Amino acid sequence: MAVPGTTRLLPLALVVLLGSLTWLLDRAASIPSSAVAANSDQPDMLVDKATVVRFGEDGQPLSLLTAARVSHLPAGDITWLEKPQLRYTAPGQPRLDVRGERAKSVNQGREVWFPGAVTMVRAASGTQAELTIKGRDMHVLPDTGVASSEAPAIAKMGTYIVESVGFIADSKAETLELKSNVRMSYEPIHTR
Amino acid sequence: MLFRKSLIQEMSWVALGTFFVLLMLIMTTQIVRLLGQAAIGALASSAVWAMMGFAAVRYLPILLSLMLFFSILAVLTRLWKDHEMVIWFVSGRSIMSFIRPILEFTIPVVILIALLSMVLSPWALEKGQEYKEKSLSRQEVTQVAPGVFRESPAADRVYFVENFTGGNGNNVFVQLRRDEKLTVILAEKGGLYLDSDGSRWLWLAKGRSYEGLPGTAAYETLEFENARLRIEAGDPPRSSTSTRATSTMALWNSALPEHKAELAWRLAIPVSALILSLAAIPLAFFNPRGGRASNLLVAVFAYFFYYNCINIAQAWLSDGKISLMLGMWPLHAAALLITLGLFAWRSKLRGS
Amino acid sequence: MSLLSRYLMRELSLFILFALIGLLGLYTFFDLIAELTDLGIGGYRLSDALIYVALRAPANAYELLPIAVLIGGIFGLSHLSGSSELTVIRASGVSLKRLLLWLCLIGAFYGLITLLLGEYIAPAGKRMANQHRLAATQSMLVGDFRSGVWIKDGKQIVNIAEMLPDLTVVHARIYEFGKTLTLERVIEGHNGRFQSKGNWTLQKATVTRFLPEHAGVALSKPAVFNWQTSISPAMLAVLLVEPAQMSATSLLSYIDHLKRNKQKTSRYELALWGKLFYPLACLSMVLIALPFAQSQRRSSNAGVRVFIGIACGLIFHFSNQIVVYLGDLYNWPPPVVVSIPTLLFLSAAAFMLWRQERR
Repeated sequence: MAVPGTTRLLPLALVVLLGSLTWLLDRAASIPSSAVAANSDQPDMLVDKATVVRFGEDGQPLSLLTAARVSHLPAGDITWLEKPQLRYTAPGQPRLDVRGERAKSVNQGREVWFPGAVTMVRAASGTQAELTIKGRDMHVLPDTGVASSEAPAIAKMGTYIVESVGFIADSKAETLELKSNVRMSYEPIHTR
Repeated sequence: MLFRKSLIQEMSWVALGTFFVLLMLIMTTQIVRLLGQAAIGALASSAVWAMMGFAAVRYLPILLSLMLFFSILAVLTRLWKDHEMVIWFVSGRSIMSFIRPILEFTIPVVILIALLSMVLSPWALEKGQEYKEKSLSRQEVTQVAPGVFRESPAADRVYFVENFTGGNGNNVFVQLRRDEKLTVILAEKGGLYLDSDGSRWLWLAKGRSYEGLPGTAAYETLEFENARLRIEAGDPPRSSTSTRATSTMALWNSALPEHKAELAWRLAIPVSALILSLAAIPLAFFNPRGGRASNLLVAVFAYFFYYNCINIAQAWLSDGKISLMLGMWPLHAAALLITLGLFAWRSKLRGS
Repeated sequence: MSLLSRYLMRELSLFILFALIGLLGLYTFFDLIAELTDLGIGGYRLSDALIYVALRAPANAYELLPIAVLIGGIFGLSHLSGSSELTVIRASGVSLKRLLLWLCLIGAFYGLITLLLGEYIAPAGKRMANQHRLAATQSMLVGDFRSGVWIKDGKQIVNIAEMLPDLTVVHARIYEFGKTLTLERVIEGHNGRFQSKGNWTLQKATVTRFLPEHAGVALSKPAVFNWQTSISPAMLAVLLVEPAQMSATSLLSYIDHLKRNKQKTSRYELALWGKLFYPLACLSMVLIALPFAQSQRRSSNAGVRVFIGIACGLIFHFSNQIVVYLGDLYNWPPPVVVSIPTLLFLSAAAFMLWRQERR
């Protein structure tokens, strides 16, 4: 077996092999850490033509929302809706319908703000006729059934028409509080 | 001089051969396990080769010690079989004179084994684990295969796509888990994609999603024409390093019995390699006139018995059954005594 | 079986056995190291680890037998040709064809053992090992994913998070779909027990039903819920073992289930075909051993020839696994995928033999 080669053959071969294996592994395994910063001002959910129904503990539908477009921003957990149509059917309250150009829903829909033109319709209930309010920049709190605004609005209830700047409509108490320069007119029913 | 040189050279060649065979053997079983993991998506298919490299470095200390033991055993047995041993004895060599060349052959490799088991193997384990997790989180995009359930690395998302036509999945089922809430999404079409700044999106067309706390009626259903959901792209939180992966220095400083046991285990590999290499000399005694290769069987059993004792000693050390001060030294001392006993028995036989 | 062939058989078997014991020792040793990391979880003692490792030995043997046959074959035949017994056998009128026939017989014998191992002993051993380990660590069977086992069954997608070793379902969630990709019911239940073919019972169940047209969500909590499904305990047992370890019969039934549910079956089909071809590996190993051993003309580097033989065998085993993985990845037809390595090596062995004979 007198094969030429120093007696140091084995250790040398092994060191070379292990050295190269370790170097290769170190190079192969070094992945640049992902540079993506989870920028939270970018939306993390976008939905087109959405119909959202939320059910209460008893399984009855609480609110029905249809919107042309929904986008959710993780920063502040804000959801923006385009051409939203909201219908609240909470128990013990007359049905509330709100339609607007855009809406911003905050903390899981417990507070919704409608910038721009808004129409709100509160269904008739035993004691009261149907109330329709056309206004701007309206705040709606579905759980408490309160809608309010600081901007000028026109409210129509049964045969009365009221104009004011700012109002608070409380569905539970079925009240309508008008803030300032209120003008009211009565529109007789034409009996032609 | 010739005695020493030829002996070491022959052992070196046999050792190299054994090393490659053992390495191939380990690679074969590792590849089976890794490919199995890649098939179910628990391992990024691109990471299979690198993980095999890491597995190799992890098993190297044991492979090298087995290589040493086997190569010495094989060469000495051949010397006996070809009656060369008799010639060496006639020319004044005794069994003791084999010790010096064997040591000269073994010591450098034992140092290499020590380096491996103390430094390289823990590093390989740590680096391997980190690489596996990072490559998995980056690989999720290509993971959704048709007709197979897939789970995301953080196990919070499960996908099922019935079949693929033109790169898009049909009849998509997704289950998302965010803190307590469970969301189930069904869609006619769907898929995963990476956007420009590297975050990952799930897109779905014409579908419905049902989100709610399991067991309550307070659900929220969403019907949509199409939807896009960004799936977190950040690297997952690093899992805690196991004892095997902690560096030797950290083990030395910590007082935990489990760490001390691991340290004793890492030390035991080079020590046992040295003792076993010496024991291989008397163990290689082989009666050429028709003697069966039973001594090889005894040697193999001795090897595995010694190593399993080391493993069991480690288990007892971490359980506290043996005091940490003692460590595995009694075991090595016993092995050394047996080796000396074998030497005495064999040399008495030769009468020199 | 003439006296000579019986002698050949005994001689080779000694070396094959020796190689198998050596390899098994090495693998059991590695298994033990792996198990040691889990000592202490839920009272998992050393004796449990030893029993678990012992029960896995048949599965290891199944995986190692072809390599053992090769290494044993090469050493055995080299030993014979080294002591020139092989040349004596050939000289005493045993033609190459008859020698090959004997070797094939030996190879077939070990192929049969591999078949028995792969079909009955290894899966049973693996299942007992898993069950023993689970009972010892009081942990649950979970299957491939951390969220448990997922099964698609007709109009249901079932997620079984945890199971006890005796395959009772600790917790299951069942999604039931309507016709047009709508979710009709979500059923959650505990302590699922198999009653008869096609139905299980779940206790403490909650059924959430989504009424059509968003009319509402009906919640009911029946104490016992009768769950209609084609899932059987045998199928659950199958899901807990990787395909390569399953027996052919359970593979066949599971492939049938997957086909019925339009699920991808290639991974399991490859495993099935692999199982059928695997015993053939032993045969080809013995035949590969012959050219390597026979050509040894008492030349000095006998060791090198033996080493190359073993390396070839390992490459064969290695390529077998790689080809199966690539087959699954690129959906190649399973029968072709599995037979490539075996046929390749058989033809290589035949070629080497032919070349040796001609010279």
